[in-house]
Amino acid sequence: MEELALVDRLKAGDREAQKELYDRFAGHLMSLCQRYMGGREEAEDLLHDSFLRVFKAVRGFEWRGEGSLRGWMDRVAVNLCIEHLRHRTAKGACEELLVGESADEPTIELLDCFSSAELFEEVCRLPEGYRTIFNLYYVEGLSHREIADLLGIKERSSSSQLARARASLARRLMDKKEQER
Amino acid sequence: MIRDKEWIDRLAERLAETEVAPPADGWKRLEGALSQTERGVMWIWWRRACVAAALVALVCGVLWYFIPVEQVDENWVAEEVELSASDDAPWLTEQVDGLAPQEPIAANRVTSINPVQSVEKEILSKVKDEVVQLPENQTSEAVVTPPSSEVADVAEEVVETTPSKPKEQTATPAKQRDEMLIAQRRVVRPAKRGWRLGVVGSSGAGVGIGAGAADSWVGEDFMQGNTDGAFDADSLLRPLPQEPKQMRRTTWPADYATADLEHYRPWSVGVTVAHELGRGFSLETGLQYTLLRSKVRYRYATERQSLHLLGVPIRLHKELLNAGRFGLYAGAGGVVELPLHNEVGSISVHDRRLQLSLSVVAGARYRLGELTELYFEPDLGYQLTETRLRTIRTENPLTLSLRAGLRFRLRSEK
Repeated sequence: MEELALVDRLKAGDREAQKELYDRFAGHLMSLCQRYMGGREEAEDLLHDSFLRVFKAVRGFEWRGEGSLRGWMDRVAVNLCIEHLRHRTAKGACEELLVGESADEPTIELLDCFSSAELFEEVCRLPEGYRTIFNLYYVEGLSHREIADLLGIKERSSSSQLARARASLARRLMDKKEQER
Repeated sequence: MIRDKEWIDRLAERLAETEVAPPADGWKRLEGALSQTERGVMWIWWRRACVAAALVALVCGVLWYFIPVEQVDENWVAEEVELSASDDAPWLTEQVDGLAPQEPIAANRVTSINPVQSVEKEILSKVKDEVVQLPENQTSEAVVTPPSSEVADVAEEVVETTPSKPKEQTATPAKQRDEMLIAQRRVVRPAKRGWRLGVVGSSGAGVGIGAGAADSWVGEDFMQGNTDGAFDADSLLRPLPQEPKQMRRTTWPADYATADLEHYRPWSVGVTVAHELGRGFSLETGLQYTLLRSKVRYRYATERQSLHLLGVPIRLHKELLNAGRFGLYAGAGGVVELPLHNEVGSISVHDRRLQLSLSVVAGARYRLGELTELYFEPDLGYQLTETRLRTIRTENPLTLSLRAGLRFRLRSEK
C-alpha cells in the first residue's frame, strides 16, 4: 500500500492499516527505542506506547512526501523516550569516564571494523545520560542548545557529556577490537 | 572537522539502518490495547455527559432554592408608629392603677423598629372585639395583648399591601385621640453583611503591551535526574525533510519561531462566592475554568493546541455607587490557576506549574430583584507566569477581559 493511502486509512482508524504500519516500522522503531532505553524490556514497552500514540495522533498528521511518515513516527518515539527518561533518575552517568582518561575520537576505520549490530549494541551499553545526548546529537542532529532546551540542562553540560560519551564509545570499541585480536 | 563530520555521518547511517526484531506478541498486545481504548473513549464521553447533567441539575437546584417565588419585603422599617387609644389598636393597653381595666387609654407614642405588617380592615374589625381583661391587682405595666389565634393567623399572613386606610373614627375627643399614622417606608436596603453566590462567564483578548514571550524552558540538570518531566510536544512536527538522510539535520525542538501561531479568544466560566465585609467592601472567590486554544501551523502540519486550566480567583471589591438598582464598583485581585490538561494535537503535554495573574476590575451591576443581580465587569489582568506551551497569554501578558454573570444573594444574617 502506498504511504499516502496508508495515512488516509490510518486516519479513518482502519485496523488493517494499523497492522500494516506496525509490520513496516516496528523493527525500526524497536531499534530506536532500544538505542535510547538501553534495555530490550523497556524498549518493548516504549515501542508499544509509541504506536499507541502514533495511532492517536495520526489524525493531525499531514503527509508531505515519502519518508515524512517515518520521520514523524521517529519523533513521536524519541519524544516518548525522552519523556520516560526524564522521569527516571539518571545518576552515575558520568562515572564511566575517569578523570585524566584520554578522550580519543573514534575513527572511520575503527567504525568499519564493526557491524551495524555491534555498533548498535555498544551504543546501547553507554550510560543512560551519555546515550541520550549521543543519540540526540549524532542521530537526530540536534544542536547543543536544542538538547539543553529539551532536557532542561545547560548547554555546556550537553557538550561535555557528549565529549565523554564519544570518548567512552571510542574506548569500548578499541577495547573490543583488542579483545578480538 | 571534516574527519569529525565523516565519522558522525557514518555512525548515524549505521545506527539508523539497524533494525531490531519487535516482540512476537507485539501486535496482539497492541490490538488489545486499541480495543480497550475505543471502549474507554465511549465511557469517557458518557461520564462527561453525566457530570454535565449533574452540574446543570445542581445549578438549577440552587437557583430554584434561592430565588423565591414571592418576594418578601422584609426590610421595610416602621419609623414611627403612633397608636391611638382607639378601637383600632386594642391590643396595646396600659394598665394603670385607678383606671378601669377595660378603659382604653391613649397609648404613648411608640417608636417601633420591629417590622409592622399592614393589617387588613377585616383584621382590625376582628381585633376590635378582642379586649383582654386584666386582673385588678395587676400593677401598671404595658401590656401587649396578642390577638386571638384566628386573628393572629391572619395578621401574620404575608401580604404586600398598601397600608390600609385608617378606619373612620367614631366621634372621639380629639385630644384623646391621635391620628393613627403608620409611616411605612419601604426600604429595599441590602443587608449590611451577607453572602452572594454567582455564576460568571468571561472572554478576553490580549492587549499587546509588554515583553514578548521569554524562553520558558526551565529545568534542572537532567544528569541528576531532577527533571520536571516536561514533554516537548512542539518538537513533534518540525519541518520534515524529503529524504530520510536529512532527518538528522532537522532542528529540534521545533520551537514556535518556525511556526505560525493563531490564538483563539480565551474563554472562562465559573462560580463565585462573595462575602460582604461591610462599608461597601466585599471579598470574592470561587472556581473558574479557562480554555486557551491556538492553532500551530508548521511547515508540514497544522496542530490544534488547547490548555485547560482550573483557577481560584480572589478579588476585593469596593462599591463606588449605589443608586437603587444600579451600582458601580471597583476591585483588584488575582487568580491562581492549575493546568489540568494540555494538548498539542492528540499529544498530551505535562505541565503542572501554577499560573499566577493579577488584575484590576471595574464593574457595573443591575439588580433584577431582591436577590438577583446582573453584572458586567471589564478586567485588566497581567499574567505573571508562563506555561510551557505558548498561548495568547504568552504573546500578550496584559489581557483585557469582559466578565458577565449573575449573582444571587443568599439569605443574609442581619
